[in-house]
Amino acid sequence: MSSSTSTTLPDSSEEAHAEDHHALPFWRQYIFSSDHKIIGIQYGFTALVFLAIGFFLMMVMRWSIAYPTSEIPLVGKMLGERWAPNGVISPDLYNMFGAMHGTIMVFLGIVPLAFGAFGNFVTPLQIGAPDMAFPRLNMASYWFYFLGGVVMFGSFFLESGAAKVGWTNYSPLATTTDTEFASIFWTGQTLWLLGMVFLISSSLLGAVNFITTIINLRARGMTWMRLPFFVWAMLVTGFLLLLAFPPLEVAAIMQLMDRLAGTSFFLPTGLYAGGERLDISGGGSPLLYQHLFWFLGHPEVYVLILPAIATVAEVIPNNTRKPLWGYKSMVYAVMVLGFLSFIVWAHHMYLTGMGTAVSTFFQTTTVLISIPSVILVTSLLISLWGGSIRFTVPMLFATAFLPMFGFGGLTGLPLAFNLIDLHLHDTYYVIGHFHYVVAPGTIFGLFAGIYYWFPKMTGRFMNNFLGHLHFWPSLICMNGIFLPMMIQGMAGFHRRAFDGGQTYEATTERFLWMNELTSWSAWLLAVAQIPFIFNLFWSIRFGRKANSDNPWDATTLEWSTPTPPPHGNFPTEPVIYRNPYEYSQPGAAKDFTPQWIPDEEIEKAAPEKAKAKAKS
Amino acid sequence: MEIPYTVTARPDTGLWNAKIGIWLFLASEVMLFGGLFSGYVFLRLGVTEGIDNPWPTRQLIVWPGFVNTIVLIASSVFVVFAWAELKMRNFARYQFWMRLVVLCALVFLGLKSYEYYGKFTHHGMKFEDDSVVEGVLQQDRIEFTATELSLSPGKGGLEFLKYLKDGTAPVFKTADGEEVRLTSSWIKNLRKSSGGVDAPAAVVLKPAAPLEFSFNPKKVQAYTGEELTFRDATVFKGALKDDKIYFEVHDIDLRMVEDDAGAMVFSYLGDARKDAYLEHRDAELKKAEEDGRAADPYDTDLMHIHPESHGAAHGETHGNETGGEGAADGHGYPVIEVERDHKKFLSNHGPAYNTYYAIYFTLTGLHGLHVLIGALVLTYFLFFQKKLYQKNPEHLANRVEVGGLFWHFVDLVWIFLFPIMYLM
Amino acid sequence: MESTPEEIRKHVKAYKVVGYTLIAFTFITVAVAKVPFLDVGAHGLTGGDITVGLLIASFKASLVALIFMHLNAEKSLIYKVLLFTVFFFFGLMFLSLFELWNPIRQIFLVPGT
Ligand code: HEM
Ligand SMILES: [Cu+2]
Repeated sequence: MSSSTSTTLPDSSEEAHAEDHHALPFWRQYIFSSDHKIIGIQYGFTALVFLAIGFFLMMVMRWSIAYPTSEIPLVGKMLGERWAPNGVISPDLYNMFGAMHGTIMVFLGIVPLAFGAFGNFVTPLQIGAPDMAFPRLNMASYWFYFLGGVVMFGSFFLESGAAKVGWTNYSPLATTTDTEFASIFWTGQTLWLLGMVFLISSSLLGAVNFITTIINLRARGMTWMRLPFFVWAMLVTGFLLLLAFPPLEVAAIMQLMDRLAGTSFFLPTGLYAGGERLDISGGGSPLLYQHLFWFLGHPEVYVLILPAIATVAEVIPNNTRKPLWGYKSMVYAVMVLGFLSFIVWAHHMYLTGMGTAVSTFFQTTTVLISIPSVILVTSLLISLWGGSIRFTVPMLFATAFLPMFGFGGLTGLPLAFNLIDLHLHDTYYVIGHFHYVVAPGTIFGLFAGIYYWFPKMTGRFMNNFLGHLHFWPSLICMNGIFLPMMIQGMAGFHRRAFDGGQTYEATTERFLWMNELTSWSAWLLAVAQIPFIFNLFWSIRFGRKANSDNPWDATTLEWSTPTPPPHGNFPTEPVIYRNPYEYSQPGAAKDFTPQWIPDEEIEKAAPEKAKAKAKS
Repeated sequence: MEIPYTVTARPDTGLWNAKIGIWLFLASEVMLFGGLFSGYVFLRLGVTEGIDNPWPTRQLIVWPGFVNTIVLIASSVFVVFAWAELKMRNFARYQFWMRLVVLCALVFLGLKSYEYYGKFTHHGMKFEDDSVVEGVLQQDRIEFTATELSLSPGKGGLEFLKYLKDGTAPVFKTADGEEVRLTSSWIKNLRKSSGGVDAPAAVVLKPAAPLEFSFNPKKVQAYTGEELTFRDATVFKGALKDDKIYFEVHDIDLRMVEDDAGAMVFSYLGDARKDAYLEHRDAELKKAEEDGRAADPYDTDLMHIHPESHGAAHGETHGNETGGEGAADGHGYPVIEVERDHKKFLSNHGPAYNTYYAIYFTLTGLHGLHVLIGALVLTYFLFFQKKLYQKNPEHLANRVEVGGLFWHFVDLVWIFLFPIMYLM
Repeated sequence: MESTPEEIRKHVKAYKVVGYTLIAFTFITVAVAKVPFLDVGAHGLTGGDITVGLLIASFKASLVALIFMHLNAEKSLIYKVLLFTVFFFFGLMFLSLFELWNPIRQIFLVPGT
């Protein structure tokens, strides 16, 4: 990693730009491209594919939960006798799909889509930069991600199958699983770790690149407080990745050593597995793994949510035609949030037998962190107040984001208290909590982003009707999935039961029917994505043409470029004159005053109109 | 538009891009090594007396680490010299200093490899009662003469052929008298014809003459005097020849044993050595008392003895311990033959030996990787950047500064590694 | 950055001095650990030995960071980044305290305490 930074850092820009980009062969222009927009689209496309794969795994799991002993329709036989005898999903396969669902969604789906795709495409445009600071590093970070994805996905086809012990991959179970194979290297558990090392390297390179770009490549006049909120969120996200991922890398390296070199970092003395004493020195600590994992794990959840909040913060002012309410407080809130997110991690570990003093400390910081979260959501809510809202499709997703994310965040508060968490830990309540944040939260935010920036990427709008057909069923199904989970969780349903709790019928009976409700909602949610997928491809060619470079009448800099933006982005160096969300300014003829228009060139409103505006 | 500030600094931040980039990267490196150091402290504090292995202190030979510290410090000085010469536009002298830097890196890596080699050729074995011997492993094999083997077509493979004593591919006969040569294509056909992974029936094969195997014990699932199961479930019938562990003892360590005199090692080393050990121990304890210091359980002088320097003369001991002349080697250390089920854990002083060596190898290995990569980058700057220098000397100076920052960081990590691994 | 050759020549002198200091302190660390009458306390975690070793190491590391890596005169932005990093680094080092402050472990797991 280090070599690539030090060698490619300084020289990357100049040579890549010296050549005329259009003269490049196809594979340099579209495959091994160093242009941030192409890389962004590559990230986006790959991430959407992984999201679909992760979704598929989940649908299979939901069948097992709702109808544990019956054959899965359509795909049952394709999964193979070994994993699904007679088409009935085996507990082993359920575990495998569960672990990989989480891993794929978090590390291969959402982060690449939010940070990799939107971050790459939008950030340089919004700050007026010709590209990322280190374009070749940017390319390297995409290909590391791709490699990580290939390793992860490839592990499904090994004899051992893919990783099986949850997306958190806790040791000692993770270390002692799959050790019976001839080569411990070629097992899912090992490749998971290897894949993580690639993904972490990718994120680290990306983070270095983003932060440098934002610090050093802002155009003239783009002062810190004129940055669009999206850029702020990217900056904070970059820092989270930069500083939180290395400890996970340590955990992955240590676990790799445990598996391959026979060390005992996470294995205590006298450990037995499968009735046999392990041939290890012992002396390690499973708690060490959890600390290192969650040191990343909690900042990671903010990596998942911040880009989505920020996308929503772009879409809302654009559609309420009002400045973002409390821009400055949002900026400070997001910084505090990033800071605090590093010192709350052990709220995931209340049940590990940590000391009470430690529990209390983390309980306190966890409650504290909800303050900046609430500031963000409240500012966005107030931004809606008194606006003449245009309910475009991106705005629909953005407005739905607010209550959904709010619900997810509020359900986190009870979890923050260790006494309550004793009851709720590892139940469906936790699953419900974080899915409310990431599914109807983050994913809706990202959908908003796709619908919003699509015209900049392609010059065409996505279809409005199909957008509605996508949005409303999705909203209903999302709640159909996750609301029952909260109830089941409070009733004590364990999060990892492959049969959805039927084994414990005596206590779970009253709530078992919800398994079917959830599962059907999940499958219907899949159906609801069909209009979206169709819309995405169809609109590239046949969507309604955007009539200008700024079809949403937006104020931020990405809308000043030609469509789609050429290599180098801006024909002439942009200069920034004002704050990012100057909508409906008194005295202006139009209801938006873009950042890049000098004061002299703003069309003045007719005098009487201006007066009327000033009065209201 | 071109990407700005690749060589010159941006006025308001005062920095060019790569300078920010490298510092951010170093920040993440701080967290990376921080995680490992934190792991070190965690593991060391987590040692529970009486349960876990005691944390070894001052076990490494100090001089290679010491020399390496000096070498890295020197290279750090040379790299700033190189950079300064570039700033003064003195290419030849830049190259001179940079050569020295790369040379230092090579010396460092050479010494490190020498140290690693020493660890990998030194062994330790823990007995069931937690007494420990350290020294050199002579042999750890399960030798077995097979007259028949049955292969389970589902899981079984041909891995066991690796453990044949003479490498010639033997000929087998099946129960039906059919002659087979074991090849991977034969096994594939067998698998196909017998119904895949879950095939129940094993195929019984008889070799023309009894086969001598010398198995790696890790690959053996279970064995008795007449039967041995390989880990892919292939079963061998025949006779066990030898399963003892031959170990050349240099030191013993009884910190985990409550009753020194009854320690299992002494049933192998013999009474003479036991008495010598106890005498030595008591003398040390007494000396500690006289000096007015607490008997330090970590003190290697107290707890390890060198068998050849205590107790009976060499000639005798060989006879007692090993029951045969040939079992002792030239160093005068006794070689013991240990029953396999008296062994609790056996390993060389590689990462698996205990958590100390685990973190030692992980940390120094990762650090060594950084040295290697840094050296490669600096070598690149040394030999392949003359053109850039002629075109834009400041650009090369910037690059060397970035490479140098990385190099200093690597030095900085070692400055902490040296005391915590070698001295404390 | 130091741009004029004279300034740089001055710096080079400083680099030399720092280099010798670092080497001198390397000797001191080893001496403190190895020479009996300099040896501080017991080895292991309880003795003064670790404190002294780490103090010397920190001093050496600061020299490298301040002089060789020019942190004595760097732009404020870099300090800000490093300040965050150092803070979280300490957060990370505190992991081990959780092992110590662990009443449950002390009561149930450790025999004889
Ligand atoms: C402000 C509010 C939040 C609070 C107080 C909070 C609190 C918690 C707590 C205490 C847990 C641990 C529950 C347990 O395992 O017993 C948890 C789990 C989780 N939270 Fe949150 N959370 C908040 C916001 C978020 C956000 C914004 C996200 C994501 C984008 C998120 C994602 C997660 C995830 C993924 C888990 C489960 C990890 C696992 O065990 O697999 N949380 N939350
Ligand atoms: Cu958390």
